[in-house]
Amino acid sequence: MNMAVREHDLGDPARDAAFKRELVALIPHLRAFARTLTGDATAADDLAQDAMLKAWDARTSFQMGTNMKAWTFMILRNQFYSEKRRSWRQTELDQEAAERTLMAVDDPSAPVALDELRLGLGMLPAEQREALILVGAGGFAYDEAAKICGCAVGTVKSRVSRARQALQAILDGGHYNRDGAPAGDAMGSILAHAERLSSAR
Amino acid sequence: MVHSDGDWGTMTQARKGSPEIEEARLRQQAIGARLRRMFDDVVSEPVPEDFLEILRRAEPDVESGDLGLPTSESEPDRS
Repeated sequence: MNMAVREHDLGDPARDAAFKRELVALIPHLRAFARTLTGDATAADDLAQDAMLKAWDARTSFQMGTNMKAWTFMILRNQFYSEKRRSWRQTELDQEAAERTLMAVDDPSAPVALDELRLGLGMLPAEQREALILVGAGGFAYDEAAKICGCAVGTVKSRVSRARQALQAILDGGHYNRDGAPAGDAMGSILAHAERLSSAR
Repeated sequence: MVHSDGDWGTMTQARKGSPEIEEARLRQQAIGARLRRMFDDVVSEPVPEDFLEILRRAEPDVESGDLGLPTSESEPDRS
């Protein structure tokens, strides 16, 4: 077999170098996006590495000078969903994450607010979580987030808005749902509450 | 059911003056600040070496000979 030259091997080395510099600078952001999406540091780094490699392999299709951050976030996001489709249920709540959340917020020795937030994020439907992260922490405008998620700007706005209200209800709810009901039931009532809040306006 | 278009600015303006809405807005700000901090904390972590190593291995013109690739066309770039 003789030199199966991949198409991008023929690329311009100077362009590759510029691409790589920009990609490397984005690694911390890809890690943060992956971490907040998955809530799991190890899975997040695997996801971020896969996304980084996919971006590198697709570098000839990237138009230099356009928004590489948005482009790589879109790759990471698509990678996340393709893995999720294989292993998890798509938009259902993660019952285990929810139970951990309720235990964590019930445990006075675990007052770590950020961890509570992480677990709360994990309880949101995935499309609300990603919208909130992109707009609320990733620094993307609504229209950029819409491109990353492949949906309409109005859809992103509505998801962010619902995510904010649901998250607030989850975080608030953790403090008063201590009636001894099983965590799953407590979560159900928190979510029902969140749902009422987010559809009421 | 009233459908919200998610325009928080307008919504907040329209209901300004209500202490409950004001409190909700402040709580939202607090959650937003925590979310940003959570994200930024990861951004400011040092990048694990694996990332750079993976990228280095993916480069087509990598100089290390441990890739097991046919090297029929590799040109020596140091003399």
